[in-house]
Amino acid sequence: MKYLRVQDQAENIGAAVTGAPLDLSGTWLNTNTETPGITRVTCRADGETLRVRFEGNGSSEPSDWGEVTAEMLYAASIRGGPAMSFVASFDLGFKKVRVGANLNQGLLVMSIHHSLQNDAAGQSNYFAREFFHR
Amino acid sequence: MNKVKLPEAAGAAVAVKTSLDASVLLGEWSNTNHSATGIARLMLAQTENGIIIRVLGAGNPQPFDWGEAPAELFADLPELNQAMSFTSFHDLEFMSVWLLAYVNKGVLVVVSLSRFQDNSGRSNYWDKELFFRSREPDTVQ
Repeated sequence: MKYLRVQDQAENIGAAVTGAPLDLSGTWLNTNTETPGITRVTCRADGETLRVRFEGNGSSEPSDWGEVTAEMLYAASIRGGPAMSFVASFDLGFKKVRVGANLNQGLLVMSIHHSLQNDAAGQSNYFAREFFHR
Repeated sequence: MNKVKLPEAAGAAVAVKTSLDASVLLGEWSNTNHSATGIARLMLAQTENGIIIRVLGAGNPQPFDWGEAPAELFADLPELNQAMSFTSFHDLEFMSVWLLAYVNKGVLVVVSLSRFQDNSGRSNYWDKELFFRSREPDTVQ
């Protein structure tokens, strides 16, 4: 079994599984009620996959980003367990956004990376870290 | 050091051009946990084609060299020019890893999202590690 980090060694692991994303499901609201960014995230389990919808405040962010399927789900351990993290991407035309999210003490913590397209008016790609509660 | 023998296509790092100031991110970063079993160190360097990251996974006795990959930089706000965050994707054949990282008060916070592609039975998993800058950019080889 190949590994490139000590922690990826796993003898007798069997078939570890990243469980259904039930813990991630629900409507998540930004803890910052004044946020200029994403106001609401709706996650719903669709079998073994997770569908994610983002909503913004309508001014600095589009009000509805549409719904996408999370590209990948992750457990907290190499030995599997409930899905507690996901990666999703949105293509909004003027920018592409990659999101990494994880559960932490009842919050959904998101790293949101915005890649602006077509050298948008000299602006920079930017990153935001936001917290959501259910 | 344990070297990973990767096919040429996978090992060739094609950097992404960027005009952001990467000075806060460049250099060598070492795990704050001296007993870390994940990523031991990572190095970010400026090249003529953009920013390259090299990752060293924790190994015994030597760390594992993941090779190089391009890093995409991000500022805190669209009107700012200082990069405070990066993402990189590492295709290691049997495993692929997304790194999502940002600097907070001098600490580099790195989230790794690992996916196993070798039917080894290992689960995809999320991890987070903290790093301090152990070498300034001018001295990184």
